[in-house]
Amino acid sequence: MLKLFGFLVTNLLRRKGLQAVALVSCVCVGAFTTLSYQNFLHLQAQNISMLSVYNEIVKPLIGLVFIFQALIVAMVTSQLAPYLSVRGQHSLLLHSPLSDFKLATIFYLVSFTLSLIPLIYFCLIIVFLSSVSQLDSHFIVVVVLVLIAGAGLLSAFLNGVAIMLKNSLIALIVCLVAIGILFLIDEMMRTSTLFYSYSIFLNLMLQGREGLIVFSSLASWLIWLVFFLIGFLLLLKIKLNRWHRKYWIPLSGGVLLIVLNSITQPFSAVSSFDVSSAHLNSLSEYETGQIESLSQEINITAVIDNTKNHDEIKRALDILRQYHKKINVSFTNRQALGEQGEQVDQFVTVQIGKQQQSLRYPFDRSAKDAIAQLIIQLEGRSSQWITFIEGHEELGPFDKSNRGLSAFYQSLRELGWPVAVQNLSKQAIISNNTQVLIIAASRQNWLNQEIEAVLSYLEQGGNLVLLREDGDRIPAAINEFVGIKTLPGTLIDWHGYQSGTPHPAIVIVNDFPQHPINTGISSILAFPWSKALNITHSAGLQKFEYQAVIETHKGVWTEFDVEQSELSYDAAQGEMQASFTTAFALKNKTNQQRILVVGDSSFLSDSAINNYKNKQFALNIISWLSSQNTTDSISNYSDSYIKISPIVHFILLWGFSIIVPLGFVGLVIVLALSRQSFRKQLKRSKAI
Amino acid sequence: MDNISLNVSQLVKNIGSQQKIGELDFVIGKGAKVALLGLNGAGKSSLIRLLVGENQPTSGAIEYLTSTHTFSPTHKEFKSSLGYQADTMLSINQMCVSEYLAFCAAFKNLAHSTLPDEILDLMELWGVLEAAGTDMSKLSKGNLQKLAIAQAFLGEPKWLFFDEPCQSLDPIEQDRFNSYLKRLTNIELCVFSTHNVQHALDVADEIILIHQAKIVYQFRTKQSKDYLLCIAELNASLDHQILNKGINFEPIGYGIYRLHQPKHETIKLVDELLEQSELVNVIFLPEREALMPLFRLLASGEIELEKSEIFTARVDKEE
Repeated sequence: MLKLFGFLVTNLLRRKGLQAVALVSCVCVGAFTTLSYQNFLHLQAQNISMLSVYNEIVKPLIGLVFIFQALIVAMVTSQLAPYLSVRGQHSLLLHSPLSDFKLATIFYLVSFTLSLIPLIYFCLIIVFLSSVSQLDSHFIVVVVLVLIAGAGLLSAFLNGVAIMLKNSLIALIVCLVAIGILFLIDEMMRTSTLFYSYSIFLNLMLQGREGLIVFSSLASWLIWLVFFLIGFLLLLKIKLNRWHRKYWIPLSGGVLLIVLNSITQPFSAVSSFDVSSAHLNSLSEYETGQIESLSQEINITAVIDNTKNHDEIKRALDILRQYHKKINVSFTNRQALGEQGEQVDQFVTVQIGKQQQSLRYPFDRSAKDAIAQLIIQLEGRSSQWITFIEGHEELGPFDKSNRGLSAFYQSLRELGWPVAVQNLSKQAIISNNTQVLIIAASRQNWLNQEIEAVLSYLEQGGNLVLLREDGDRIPAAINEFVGIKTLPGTLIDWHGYQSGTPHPAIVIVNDFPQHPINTGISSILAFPWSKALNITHSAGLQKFEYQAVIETHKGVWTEFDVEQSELSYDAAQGEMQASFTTAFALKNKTNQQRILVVGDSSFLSDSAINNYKNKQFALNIISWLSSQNTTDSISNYSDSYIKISPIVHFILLWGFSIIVPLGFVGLVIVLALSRQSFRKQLKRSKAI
Repeated sequence: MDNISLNVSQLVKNIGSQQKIGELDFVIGKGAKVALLGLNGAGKSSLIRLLVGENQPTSGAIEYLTSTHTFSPTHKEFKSSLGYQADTMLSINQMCVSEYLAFCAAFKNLAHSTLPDEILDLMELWGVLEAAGTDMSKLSKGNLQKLAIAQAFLGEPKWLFFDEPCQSLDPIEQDRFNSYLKRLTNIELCVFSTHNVQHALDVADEIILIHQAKIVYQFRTKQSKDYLLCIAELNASLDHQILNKGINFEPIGYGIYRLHQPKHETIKLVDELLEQSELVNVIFLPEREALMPLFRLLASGEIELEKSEIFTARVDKEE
C-alpha cells in the first residue's frame, strides 16, 4: 500500500503540469509575501496603530495558499483514476486485490500529500517571519491546521468528483467547476442565518484565521469530511463494480450525519476556544464580568455599506455571544438611510434598553474590542453620572443663554448619560458614582470645603474635565493638582480670521495629534477666546502622563489686550507667537484616572457647539474619560514589528518570490538529469 | 464439477438496446487454455471484460471454481491471482519500463522480497530488458504490447486473460508468446482472444467461436476426431436426405451439427449426399479444418443466426 502511494506521488511529482502549478504557487505566495511586506513597511512608516505582521503579511497569504491547494488537489485527482482510464490502465485499478478502502485511502492520501506543497512553502515563510518577529505561535499552528483541514476536505470531495470520470482533462475542468460550486454553496450557507451552521469549511477557515476555534464549525467540517469520504468510497465501489445494496447503509449514515449536524449545531454554536496568546478572540476578566452581568437584550445596528465587512461584525458578535447570548444584529447601509445617510460616516450603534450609542466604522481597534467597550460604556452609564459643578457662575447645562451648555446636555441625555448639577457649597461631597466631573470656567471664588471636596474626589482617582477661560477663578490647588497653567493672554488666530471666522480670537485647529479624543474628527475645530496651556513643574509631572490633544498652528499669538480695535502681535509686551497647546489629556500613572484640561470653555457653549466638529469633540472627551476601565484591555499584537536587517529585507523582497523558487527549479532539473543518467546507466549495464 | 474451473450460465450483457453478449452457457475445464475466436465485433473483448469483472453482466452468472472455493469475478481471492492484459493499454507519462512493472506490482499488492528479480526475469522473458530504463512514452507499439503481456504474469497468476495479445507483435514475438503459453502449466485457466486460427489451434486446449454475441461452436482441439457439418441454407429436402439417414448428428444450433467420431463410411455417405444436394454454402470437415471455412461463411453473412435458429428448431422438432 505504501509502495503504491510512493509510486503515485513520485510519478505525479515528475509531471510537468504539476511541477508548473507547484512552482507558480510558490512564486505567487512569495510575491504576495513581498507585496505584503512592502505594505507593512509603508504602514509602519505612517505610525499606524494596531499594526501586526500576522494581519498584514500572513493573513492575506492564507486564502492564496488555500486556492493553490485546491488547484493542486483538482490537478492530482484528475491525474489519478481519470488518467488511468484514459491511458487504458483502468484495469490496474479495477483488478487490484487491494480493498476499496485501501485504494480510497491511497488516492486520498496522494492528493492530500501533494496539496501540502503550497502549505509547506507557506510554513517556510512563516518560520522565517517568526525568526524576525514575535508571531503568535498558537495562532500559526491553528492556521496551518486549518489549511490542512481544508486540504483534507477538498481531497475527499474532489476524489469523489473525479473517480467516475474517464478523461483527465474533463476531470480537471469538472473538479474546478465543482470547487467553485462547493464554495459558492458554502458562502451562501455561511451568510444565511438559516444554514449558517451547515457551513462546509469557510467558517472554520475564517474563524481559524482569526485564531478562534469554534467547535460548531469544527464539527460541521468534520461531518462534511466524513460525508465526502463516505461518498468517495461508495463511488469507488461503483467504479470498481463492487457496489452492493448494503452500501446504502453508509450512504444513509452520511446523510444522517448532516442532519445530525443541523440538530446539534444550535447547542454548540457558541462554544469556542481562543488560541491567540493576546486573547484576540476573548474578553478580559473585567470585560467578561461586565458583559456577563448584563441582563438586558443588546441590539446592534451596523450601518456598513460593503457587505463583505459584515463578517468582521459577525465574528466579533460570535465572540461576544459566548458571554451574553441575547445579542441581536441587523445590517443596513447608508443608502437605506436616505439623505441622512449621505451626510454621515459608516457606524455601528449599540442599544441596551433605552440607551444607545454609535461608533464610527471602521474601528481603530478590533471589532470585538470596540463593541465590547461600547456595551460596557452603555451599561455603566445607568449608574455613572456626569456631574457639572455650579455655584461659581460656571457654564451650566440648564442655562439657556448663549453661554449655557443645554445643547451639550441634550446630547449627553440622548446617549443615555444621567447628568447632574452639584453645588458643593450646599453639599461638599462628590458622589462615588460620578463618572466625570466637569468644571466649566468658574468665575467666582471657591470655598475651602468645595476645594477640599474636589481634591478629595481627584485624590480618589475621579475623572475631570477642566475648562479654562480668561480671568477664571479655578482654585490654585486644583490647578496645582493637575499641573497645568494658562499662559497670559488670549489666543489670536489671524490666519483663521482671514479665512472667514467672525473674530480673530476664534482659533481654528485643523491638525490633530493622534489621540482617541480626536477620533473621527476630520474637519476643523473652533475655539473662541481660548487660552494657551502649559505644564507646570509641579508634583503633577510625577503623577500623570501628559499628552497634547489640541495644538494651534504656529501663527497664533497670545494677545494681552483682546478688546483693542486693531489686534497685532507685539513681542515687546511679552506676547508670544508659536504653536500652543489648548488641550491636554492626562492619564494617571498609578490608577485609571483621566483628566482633560481645555484652555477654552466656549467651544462647548450653545453658541459654538454646533460649529464645525465641536460637538463630536465634546462627546469624544466624555467617551474617552468614561472608558478608562476598558481601553487598557484592548488586545495588543506582539508581532507589531519586524527586526529588519539588510539580509532580512533582501530575503523578504527577493528570497521567497524569486530565489527560493529558482532553487526549486534547479533542484527539479538536477533530479531529472540524475534520473536520466541513471536510466542510461541501466541501459548500458543491461547491454553488457 | 471437480474438473471445472469456469462455469458461465445464461450470461447476457446489454448496453442500451445493443446486445453485446447474448445468453452464453459454457464450462471450461481445470487448467485449460481457451482461445476465443471470432470476427471483429463478435463479442470476444466484451466476453473477456465480463469474465474478469471489468464489466458487470446484465444477467447471468460467472463462477470460478477451485478445489476449495467458488469465486465471482469481483472476489478479492480471484483478483489476487488474476493476470490480465487489456487491449487498450497506452503509456503512462514519466514512467520507465521497470518502474511500470513495479507500479503494476504495487497495484497487485505484491511485495515479496524476490519481486525485483521477478521483474527482471519478466523483462528478459518478454524482450523488454533492453528498454528497462526507457520511458514508456518512447516505446514502440510492439514493445508496449510486450510490456502489457509481461505485467499480466506478475505474481505468478493462476487465472490468465489476454485480449488479443499478439496484436502489434512481430511474428517472432508472436511465436514466443504462443510457445510460452503452450508450455504454461500450474494455472487454473487461461483465456485469450485471437484472430489467428492456426495459433489458436496450436496453443489452445479448447476453442470457442463467437459470432454476433453468441457462441457458435466450441470444441476441444486435442485429439479431436469429430466432424463439423454446417448447412447455411434452408433446404427441406436436405433434412430428409441427410438428417433422416440414421446418422447421429448432434445439433449445435445455427445450422451447425457435430458428428461424433464418424466412421469412414459415414463420412463418405455424407460427402456424397452433400454433393448430390448441390448446396454451395455447406461445410463438412474435421473440426480443426472446418474453422477457416466456417469463418469465411460467417464473414460472408451466409449464416444469419436468427434464421439458423429457426432452422435448428425445425430439425429438433422433426427428430
